[in-house]
Amino acid sequence: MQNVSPLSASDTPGLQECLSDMTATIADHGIQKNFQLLFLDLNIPSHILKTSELHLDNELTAKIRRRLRLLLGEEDRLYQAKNGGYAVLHYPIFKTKERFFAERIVHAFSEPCELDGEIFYIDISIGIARYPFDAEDAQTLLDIAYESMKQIETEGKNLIGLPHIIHSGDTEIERTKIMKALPEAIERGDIRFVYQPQYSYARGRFVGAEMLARWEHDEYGVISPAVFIPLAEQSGMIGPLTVRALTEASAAFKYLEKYGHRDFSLSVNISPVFLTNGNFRETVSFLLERYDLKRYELHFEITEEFLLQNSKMLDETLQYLRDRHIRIELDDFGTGYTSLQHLVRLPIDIIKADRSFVAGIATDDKKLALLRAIVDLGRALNMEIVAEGIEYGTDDAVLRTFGDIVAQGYLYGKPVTLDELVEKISG
Amino acid sequence: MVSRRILIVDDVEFNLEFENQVIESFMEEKNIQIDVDVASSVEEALDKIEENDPYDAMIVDMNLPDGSGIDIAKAALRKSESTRIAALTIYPNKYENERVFFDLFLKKPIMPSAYKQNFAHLLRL
Repeated sequence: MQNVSPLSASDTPGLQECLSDMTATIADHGIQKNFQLLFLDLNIPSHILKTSELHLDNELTAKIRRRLRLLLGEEDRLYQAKNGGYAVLHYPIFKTKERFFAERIVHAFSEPCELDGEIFYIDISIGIARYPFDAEDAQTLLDIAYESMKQIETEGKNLIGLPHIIHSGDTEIERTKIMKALPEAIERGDIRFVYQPQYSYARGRFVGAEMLARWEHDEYGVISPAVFIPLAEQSGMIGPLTVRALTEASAAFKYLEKYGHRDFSLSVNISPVFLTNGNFRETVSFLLERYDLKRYELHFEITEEFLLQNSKMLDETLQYLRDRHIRIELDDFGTGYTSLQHLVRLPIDIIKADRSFVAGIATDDKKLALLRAIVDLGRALNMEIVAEGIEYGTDDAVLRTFGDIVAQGYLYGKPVTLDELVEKISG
Repeated sequence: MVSRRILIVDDVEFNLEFENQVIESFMEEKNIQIDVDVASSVEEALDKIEENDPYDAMIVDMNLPDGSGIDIAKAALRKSESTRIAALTIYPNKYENERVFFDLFLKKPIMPSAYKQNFAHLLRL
């Protein structure tokens, strides 16, 4: 092997190699092996580019590559384009959402960069082409990834572009507008949190609540979390939004305590994009210490998607949280692809049975049988069960025969403000 | 023990509180003393600059209800050129022409790790 300095450009292959690697994968595996080609354009502030000398250029390049390489999966490969951009050949883990890898890159680049005594931020635009969905040959995939990047770059910084065949023009523009409004909305506290109560049959009282984000925009009206959470994930804003949720949780715990509700949990949804970010633990530990959260019953809700990563990092992060007495809830259980092995191996405390297994159990025997299986499985593994989507008394009556279950749904209360929550659980 | 005096300016109460928490956590980690003054408008910041000895450093929100962080930076630099000034902004790369007034640009919304990294740099620690 050639002996190259880590700073030299020659240790990263070029686009020609990227094309041959793609061609080889396609020839060897065909459509049995899906992959994504990402084209990355980095926007380095001009005063850094202007002043930087050759050795600093090399150092900057090395830092950028290191940041990217930390995110690569085992088979993934990084390439450098002649114009200073990068391409990444990425083999997604089965069934994770399409932008997940790109979102992790955007999130990683939301951290500042340091070079020769200067601190600055690099803006990044990413275009994605998917094999075999967007094209079936290497050159077309590269062209599509590049074009998607160019297209999204005209709409703003730190955005991820997919080929436009799956989005109509209007929705894409709307999404971009909402995405641009996000940082300020988070920063100024325009995104608020509501609380959906959870009722324990065994204890005969409300025992906790799930926190949910709400955004009412002056111009766009009420924006659904189903819209803005994915956009926050795509633009590096999910970390700041989660920080906001956790500081709010801290204040809420204190407020609840004031009204005599000491033994009450709050569940905060944690996105896999944030959870897998390099600064996740530091951020959580800061909040536990400075915002007193370690005194309270804090739950993190994660989705099955996160478990699919099956990495050492996943195990370590969950263990890290458990060591700090944060309980882990597995959300939407039953809808995804959680392998039973994961359930046995990982420190999960609570499973939340998805509403699709709960709503209608009074009249649907098959559904009831499925729910019973989920409950039995959870109990066998020493996990608590939360059942979501309880809207009717008939379903509730059946569910009560299961014994110790925590119920969440409109029958026990829709998401409400903190004041309304206190009123409800005190009454 | 090393000690510094700083001024942070932001019109959002939550941000001032959050910055204070990050700075306190930073002080514990580095075992230093930092005295923090706060202001929530350009007017208040200008008063603080006027009344006090020059600050070692300032972290200034660029977008304030009664003006821009640039006005605060200019006043601070008139008082003492050695005050180190950071701009706090959602778009750190937008202010190429204003770079002369600031030592660094810090991205909002604030995340603790990035804030500490910038903060150490600002205070030359």
